[in-house]
Amino acid sequence: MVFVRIYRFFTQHKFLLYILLVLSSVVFAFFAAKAHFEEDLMKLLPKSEKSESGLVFGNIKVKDKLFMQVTGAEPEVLVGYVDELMDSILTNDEGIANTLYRLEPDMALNALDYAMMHVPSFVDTTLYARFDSAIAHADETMARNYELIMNDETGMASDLVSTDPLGLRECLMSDISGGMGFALIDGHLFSPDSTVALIFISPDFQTFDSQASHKLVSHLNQCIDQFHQAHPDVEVLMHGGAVEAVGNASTMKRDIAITIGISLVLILLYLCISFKSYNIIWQNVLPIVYGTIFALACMYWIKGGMSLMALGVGAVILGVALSYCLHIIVHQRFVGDVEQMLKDEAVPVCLGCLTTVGAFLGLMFTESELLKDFGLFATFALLGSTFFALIFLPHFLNVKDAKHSKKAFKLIDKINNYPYDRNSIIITVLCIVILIGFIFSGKVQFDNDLKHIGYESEAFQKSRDLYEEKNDQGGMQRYYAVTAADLDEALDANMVLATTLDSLRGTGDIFSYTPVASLLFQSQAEQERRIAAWQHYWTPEKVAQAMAAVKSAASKNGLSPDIFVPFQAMIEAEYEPGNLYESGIVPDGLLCNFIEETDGKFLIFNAPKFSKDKMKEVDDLVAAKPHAVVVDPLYYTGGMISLIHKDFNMALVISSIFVFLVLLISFRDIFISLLAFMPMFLSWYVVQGWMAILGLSFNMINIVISTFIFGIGVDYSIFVMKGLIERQRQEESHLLEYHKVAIFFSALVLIVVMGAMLFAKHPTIVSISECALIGMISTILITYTLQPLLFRWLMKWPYVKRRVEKIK
Amino acid sequence: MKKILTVVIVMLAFAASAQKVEARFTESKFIKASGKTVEAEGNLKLFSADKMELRYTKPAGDYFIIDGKTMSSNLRGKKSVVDTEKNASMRTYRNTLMNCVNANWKQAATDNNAESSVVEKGANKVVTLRAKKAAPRGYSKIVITYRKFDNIPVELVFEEFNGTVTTYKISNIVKK
Repeated sequence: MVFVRIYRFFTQHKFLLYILLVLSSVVFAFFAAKAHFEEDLMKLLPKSEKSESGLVFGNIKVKDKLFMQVTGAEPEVLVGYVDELMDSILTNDEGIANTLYRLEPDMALNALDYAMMHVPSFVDTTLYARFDSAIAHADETMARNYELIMNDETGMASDLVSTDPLGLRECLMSDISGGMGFALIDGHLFSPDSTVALIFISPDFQTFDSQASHKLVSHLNQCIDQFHQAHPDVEVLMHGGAVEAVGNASTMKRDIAITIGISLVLILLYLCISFKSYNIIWQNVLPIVYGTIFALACMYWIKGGMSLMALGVGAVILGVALSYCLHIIVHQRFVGDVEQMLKDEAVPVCLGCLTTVGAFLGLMFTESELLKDFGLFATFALLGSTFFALIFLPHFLNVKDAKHSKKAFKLIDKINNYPYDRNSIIITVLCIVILIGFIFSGKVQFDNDLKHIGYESEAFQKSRDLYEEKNDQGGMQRYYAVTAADLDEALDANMVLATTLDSLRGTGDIFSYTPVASLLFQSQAEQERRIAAWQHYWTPEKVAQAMAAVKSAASKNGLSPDIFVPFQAMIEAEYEPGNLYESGIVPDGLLCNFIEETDGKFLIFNAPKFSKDKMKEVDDLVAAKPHAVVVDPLYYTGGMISLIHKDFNMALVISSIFVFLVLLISFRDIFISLLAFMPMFLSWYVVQGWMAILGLSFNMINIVISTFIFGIGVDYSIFVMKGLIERQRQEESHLLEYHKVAIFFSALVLIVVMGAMLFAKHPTIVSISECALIGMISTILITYTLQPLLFRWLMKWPYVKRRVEKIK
Repeated sequence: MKKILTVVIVMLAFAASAQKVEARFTESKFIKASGKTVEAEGNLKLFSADKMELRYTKPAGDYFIIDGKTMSSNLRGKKSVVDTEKNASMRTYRNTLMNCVNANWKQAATDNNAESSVVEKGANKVVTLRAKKAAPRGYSKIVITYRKFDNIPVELVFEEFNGTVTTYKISNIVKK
C-alpha cells in the first residue's frame, strides 16, 4: 500500500517531511500571491462574432457613466446645490475622466461660431425643400423678425436677423432641438420637467476595475453624505455601472462573511464538541488552505491567473475536499491506528478524488474561459487537499486520540443506523421524488440574463427608476453604436444606422430618437458633398430671388432692406469642411455621448428611447447592420451564455462517462459500478426537475454548482459502496459505520453552510444555495436509501455476490 | 551692435505696450435695424498689450474684460466667458479691438481683410479701415482717432455689415 509506505518513510524522516511541507507551502503561497484575477466577466465568455471585430466592451466608456440626480428643491436652488456638490466632488478628481452637469456659457457662442463657419456641413440635402418654403414665406418670418428687433436692447437679435432673415436656422434646429433630452436652467442640466438636476460622471477606468470603482464610489458617497448633512431636505441619488459593481461586491462579501462565516464557526464548534478536541479545526482547515494555494500557484504557472468569479464559485468545491479530511480524521478517531486508517481510507479517498477531478476536467472541453478556469482550479485544489490529507495530515493525527462525545455520537449513530433502505414509506416517497424529477427535468429554465445574478440596492433601484421615469418617458434609452478604425468611415456608417433608427421612429417602434451624432458630425467626404450641394442650390439666380424676397418682406414690415448684407455674404461665401470632433468646442462630458475612441476604433453612438418590450426587436435589427453594435455586452452574452449552457451539458456527459469508467476499472463489476454511479445520475435529474417545479432557474453561476453535486454525490456513493462491500465480505466490519459518520459530518457542514446562504441578500449566493441544497439532500437520501436497498437485492443474485466478495 | 539695438527696441516696445492707461469712455450703439441708439459709459483700463477692461457705470455692473486669450463680459446680466482660441470670430473681434487700442491698425486691417488709410487732423491722426469684401461677420468699416503724440485712441467707430455702428469716445486719459 503506497500511502502506508510513504507514511512509514516520513515517520522515520520527520525532518524531511517538515522541509517538504514548509518548502512546498512557501513556494505555492509565493506563486499564488502573484496570480492575476480577471474581473471582466466579458473576457471569460466564448468569443462572438462581434467581439472578434476587435471591440472590447469592457473598454467602452459610455456604458460606465455614473448618473447622479439632485432633487427636492426649486430648480433655481438646485442649480446652486449642484455647483456646491460638484465643487466638493471635484476637489479630488481621481478616477474621473470628465463630468457633465452644466454647459459653460461660452459653449453656445463657440458652437454658433463653428456653425457659421461651416453652415453647409450641417445642411442635409433634404433640407433644401424647407429652404424653398422659407423663401416663399419670407413675409411671415419677417413679421416675427420685426418683433425681435424692436424688443432688442443689445443688438444681438438684430445681428441674428441680419444674418438669417429667413429663419433657416429653424430648419436646421428643428431636428436637433430636444435631441439632448434635457432642460437647461441657468446652464445646468435638468430632466425635461425641470424637477431633477442631472450630473453625469465618466470614470477613467473600467467598471470591472473593482479597486478604482470602490475608491471613486466611496469618494462620491462621502461627498453625498456631507452634502446631506448640510442640506437634509435635498435628495441625491446615484446609479451606474461602478455603483452597481461596488454594491455587488460589498453585498457579496458581507453575505459570505455573515452566512458562511457564522455557520462555519458554529459547525467547527460542533465538531470540536463532538470530538472533544480543538485540533479538529486546523486538521480540517490546513489541507484546504494547502489545496487552495497549490491550485492558485498552478493557475499562475499555467495561465498567469484566473477568473475571480471562478475562484468565488470554486470556493464551494472546497467542501468536497473537506469531506476527504473528515473521512481521514473520523476514521482515525475510530481505529486509533494511522496505518489501518490509511489502508481503509486511501483507496476510497483517491477514487473519490479521481472521479471528482474527472467531473471537473470535463469542463476543459468547453469554450468558456470561466468554466475552464473553474475546472482547473477545482481540480488542482482537490489534488492539493487530498495530497495533504494523505501525506502530511496523518503525521499530525494523535494516534491514541479516540475521544468523542457520547451524546453527540449517540444521535449520529441513531441517524446513520436507521434502516432507510427498509422503510417502504421513505423508499416510495423517494422514488416519487425521483420520478417527478425525471418528468420535470426538461422544463428547468436557463436564465441567460447576467443582470439577474447581480445585486441592486433599493437606493440604486430608486435612482434608476427616477431617471427612467423623468428622462425616458416611461420606456428605456439604449445605446447603439457603429464602429470603425477610421472616424470618417464610422461617421458614414452612422448615417446608415441613423436612417434605420429614424425609420423605426416612423413606424412607432421607437418613440423618441434624434440622430444628434449624424446631425452634428459628418465625414469629410460627406461635408464636401454637402458643400457642393449648397453651391448647387445657391446659384446667383437663387441668391437674387432670396435677397429680393427678403428685402421686399423687410420693406413691407417696416425694416431697412440694407441690413441683410451679412445674410447675402453667408450664402455666397466659400466653405471648407471642418472637424467638429477635434475642434474642442464640444466639451468632453458631452462629446463622449456621441463619439468615443477606444482600442484604436471610433464608436459613434445613437440613443433612441422605446418601450422595453421592443428592445429585442430593435437590438436584433441594429445588430444585423454592418459596423453596428448594441452597446450592451449582455445582448451578446445572452447567446454566449447559452453556448456555455450547451457546452456545460456536453461537459457533464464527458464527466459522467469518465466517472463511470473509473468506477468500472476500480470495482471491476458493471452492477456495482452502476450502483455507485446511480446517486450522481439520479440526483442530477432531481435537481433539474425540482428546480423547475419550485420555479428556480439555472444561471451561469449556479449551473457550475452541479459539478459540485456530481463530485460530492459520487464521493458519498463510493464511501457507502466500499462500506457495503466490506460488510458483505466481513459481517463484523465497521467500515460502513465509520464512513457514514464522516458523510454525516461532511453533509452537515455543507447543508448548514448552504442553508445559511439562503438568507443572503445577493441573488447569486441564494441561487447557488438553492441548487446545491436540492442536490445535496437528494444525493444523501439516494445514497442512504436506494443504494443499500439495490445492493441488498443484488446480493440475492449469487453470481454478483461472488464477484462482489472478490472485490478488494 | 545690431543685436543689442534690436533687444533695446524690443524692450522699449514692451515697456511702452505695458504701460497702464486709465480713462473714461462713453459708448453709443446705433442699431440700424431698429433705429435705436443704446448709450452706455464707464471706465477703461488698459493694463498691457493683451489686457484691457471696460467697467460700465451705466448700466452699472456691466463689464467687458480681455485678459490674454479670454474675453469675459456681463451685458445686462448675461455673463459669458469665451476662450478665443476656440472661437474664430471672437478671436478676430478680440484681436481687432486690442490692435486698434494699441495702435496696431495694420494688423487689424489684415485680420479684417480691410484696406487702411491714415489722415492727420491737427493733434490727432485718423485711421480708417474698410473691408474689401462683405462678410457674414466682422466690420465693414473701422475709424480710429489717435492722439498723435502717444498713439492713444480718443475715438473708435466700429461699423458692422448690417449697419450697426458702435462709437467709443475716450476722455480723462491718465497714463500710469
